[in-house]
Amino acid sequence: MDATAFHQALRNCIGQLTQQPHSALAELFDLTAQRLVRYASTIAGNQPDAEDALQAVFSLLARDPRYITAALSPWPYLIRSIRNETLRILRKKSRSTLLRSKSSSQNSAGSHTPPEQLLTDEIGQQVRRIIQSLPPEQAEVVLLKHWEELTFAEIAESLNLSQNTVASRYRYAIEKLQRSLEPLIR
Amino acid sequence: MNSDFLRIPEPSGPETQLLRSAAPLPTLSPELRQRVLTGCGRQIVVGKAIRASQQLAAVAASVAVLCWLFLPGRIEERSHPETSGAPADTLLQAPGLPPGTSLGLPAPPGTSLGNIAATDAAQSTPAAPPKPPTAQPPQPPVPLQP
Repeated sequence: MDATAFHQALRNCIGQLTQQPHSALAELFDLTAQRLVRYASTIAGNQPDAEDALQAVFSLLARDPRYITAALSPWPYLIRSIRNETLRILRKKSRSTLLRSKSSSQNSAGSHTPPEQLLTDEIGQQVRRIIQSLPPEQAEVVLLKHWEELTFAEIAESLNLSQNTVASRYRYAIEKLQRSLEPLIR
Repeated sequence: MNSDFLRIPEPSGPETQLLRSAAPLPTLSPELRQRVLTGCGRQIVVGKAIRASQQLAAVAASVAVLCWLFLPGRIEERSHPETSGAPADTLLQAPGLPPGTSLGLPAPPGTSLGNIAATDAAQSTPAAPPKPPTAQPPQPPVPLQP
């Protein structure tokens, strides 16, 4: 699903949230759960905490959907919500393991996987390792830009930062990434 | 920091494709969907109850305020205000003015001072009985000096 279709489907779900909350929430889960868990996993460092954060976000949406229906851009709102919930869970557990995902790096390649897929998986793992080698605050901006496809203004809003800060973090990160990814591009 | 700094080109090029292709979509736990939607069902009920109680509280508060404002005893109290023994026009009387004059406002043409005092008292407390005329007779109008 491309970005435009995704955002349109998201708006449709949220439009139905007050009239048909059960079906709208189910649709919203199918649309966003994987992406939200992926992002939360990069903060929490593990998938169970990310799934707990997802459940907390959906509980809040179900209890009072007025906030997200009033939000101008629902996707950054959801990103910010899951980020806050993940950080709350981490504070509760008193640990910070930003961008140390064990599950994502242990991507098992089965014996029946075709060689092209193996190569793609290997490149993907290398790219993820390069992203993880960045400072966490720079890596977060890169992930929000490239994986979650937010604009710089939306990233600034989601992280509660100024656009200048987001821009400088992105510039520094992309300079390092271009140097590190050069061997993979050739 | 100038505005050129914010003019960041949208990501493009081979490294962008690499970064986007490296985004893994995780496989969610099999029971997660059921767990989340069950929790949502409970929260929908809780949210409706909270909103209903908030609306009920708002209505109850409005009714309480209206009752307090329009209670029969309070209406009577407002129509018969208990003063501290002084007549209503005495309270409004300014020093240096003859009795029955209200705060030095000019009298409408053709009205005597006694009528003004009675009119003021009647306007402020409609149900109050008219005041008896003051002891001093009304003074004759002083002719204007050329």
